[in-house]
Amino acid sequence: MSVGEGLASDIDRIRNFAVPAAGVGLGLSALLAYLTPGAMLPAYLTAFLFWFGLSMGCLALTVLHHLVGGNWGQPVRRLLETGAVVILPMVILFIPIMIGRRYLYPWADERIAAGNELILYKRDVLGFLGAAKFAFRAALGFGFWVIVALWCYFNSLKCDQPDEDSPASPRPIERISGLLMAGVFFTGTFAAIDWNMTREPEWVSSIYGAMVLLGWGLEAFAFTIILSTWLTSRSPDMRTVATTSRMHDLGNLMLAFTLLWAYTSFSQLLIIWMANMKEEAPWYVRRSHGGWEYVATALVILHFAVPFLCLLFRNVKRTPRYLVRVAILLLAMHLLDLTWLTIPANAQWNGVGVAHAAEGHVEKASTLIYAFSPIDLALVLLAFVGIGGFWVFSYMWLLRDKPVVVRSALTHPPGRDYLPTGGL
Amino acid sequence: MSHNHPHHEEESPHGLLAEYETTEAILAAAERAYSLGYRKMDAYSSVPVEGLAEAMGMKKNLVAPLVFLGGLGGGLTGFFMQWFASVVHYPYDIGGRPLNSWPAFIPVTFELTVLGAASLATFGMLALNGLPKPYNPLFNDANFAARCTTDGYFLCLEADDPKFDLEASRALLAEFHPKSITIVDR
Repeated sequence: MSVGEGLASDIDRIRNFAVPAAGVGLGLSALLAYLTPGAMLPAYLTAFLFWFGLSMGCLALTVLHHLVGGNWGQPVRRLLETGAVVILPMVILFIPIMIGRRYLYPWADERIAAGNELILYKRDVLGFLGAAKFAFRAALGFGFWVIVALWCYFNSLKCDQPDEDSPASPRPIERISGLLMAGVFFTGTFAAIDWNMTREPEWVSSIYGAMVLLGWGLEAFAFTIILSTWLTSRSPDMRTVATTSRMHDLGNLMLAFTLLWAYTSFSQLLIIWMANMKEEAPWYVRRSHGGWEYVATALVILHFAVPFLCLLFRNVKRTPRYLVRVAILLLAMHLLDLTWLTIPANAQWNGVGVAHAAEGHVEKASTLIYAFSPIDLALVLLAFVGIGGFWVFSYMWLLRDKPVVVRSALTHPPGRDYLPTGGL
Repeated sequence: MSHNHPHHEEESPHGLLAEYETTEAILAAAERAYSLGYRKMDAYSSVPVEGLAEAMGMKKNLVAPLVFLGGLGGGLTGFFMQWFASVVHYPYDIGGRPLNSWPAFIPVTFELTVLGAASLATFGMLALNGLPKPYNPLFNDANFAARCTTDGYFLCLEADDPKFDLEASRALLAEFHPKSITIVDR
């Protein structure tokens, strides 16, 4: 049941590739963050949200599978559990965000906050914003995610022991999985709001947390579809478990999450566009001018329309190489989506700190645009490679000496997917 | 083996019905029948059997394209009705927004897409299955009537098939150790 020789050496090759990627990417990011923190840190945050989100999506789907069961989870269960555990090393990469908050969040930068009544109200009167609270909520979130992820992971490893007494699936987790799901949604929503939405503290949107979280779930589906397909040719267990009909199910779920992402993203636009209020509209103004309108159009076409139409076809979902291509497209577009959500907020720093700024210039700055530039995209990609190397290394280190398929999936023969069994 | 209506011996039967006890047996029987050239056959089971439809040579059907067309038609209708009302038939300035305020039209467009797709999925499926069908000769078989919705796996080779031959077909079904084989009258 354990990983075969060929697979282990393939995993080692990926790890050997990931280490220099992490070193060079994070090293250059650190250098640039020192030289131009205002440009580098938002790019770093974007990439962090992508890779952290992948782990968060893995955690949410692990808990979801404990809650609802289903054959879609059999091929990807171990892959999801492993991804969730990577949240633990990701704590280290959160530290730069905490330290560099002054360049990321207007509520942490007195030059912007001091002149803005609404930010001061939310920070000093309501007491939601602020460094101590930001750190406290992050610590609470990471604590919860790490505990749940490790619990799921080690329980599942225990269930891999082939002795008669060990259960095929971890029962206690299943019993409280409903509560865990609610916890994951609650804390995940806070992460999205704290880490990215408060970059524009005047803005409000009640669907934002769900929108970001569903995007992370979509990432997790795309990633595990790619990885399980890759493993099919390297692990006999995966070949047994990842049947065409189960990959079809995963393709359908990826389609469902693509729709959910589009649904929440569009709902937010519709509500804000209809109301047309001055607290809300600038968020979209920043994201539909200065080149960002092309990014938004690309997202509508390549994050929604194209994957949606491709995934409608049964043939695409049942042919691994097509399904993997759609998954890669969705991952790439989701990075672009997070860039679109994150970077335009830099506009609030327009003119801030300029030596001879005219009177009233800072106040007016919130309506200005931070134009799309390939340099920002390059910075995002640099941080993406750095954090990604770190993430992939951690992931492969965890996966290397463990079975890539959980035992309950192997004791549950694929041919009887639709028959009632005691197992699920 | 029972023959319910000896008076109509000369009339050809509806087909031969075999009951199997395992999914493996009915899968093997269906595969064999298909490979021998039988096309008019049907299987009956209380639970979905993975691969059974494929074993009988059922590949693609028209439901998916129908659903797509239903969704497309519904969506276009939904959008057109709103566009026509707001832009052509009763233009009205609402908060300075353009007459063709397409984001506001999306929810209804989406709903009508779902309505069109779901309607054609349901009614298209029923029509393609030839339903509703108040009478099916298989209902005459007491064993089938009692067990097809509980725990039986039934395979029926229909007499309309050019390959159908009472003796040869019976021998084919018997190869896979059925619990029973019955001739079903029309």
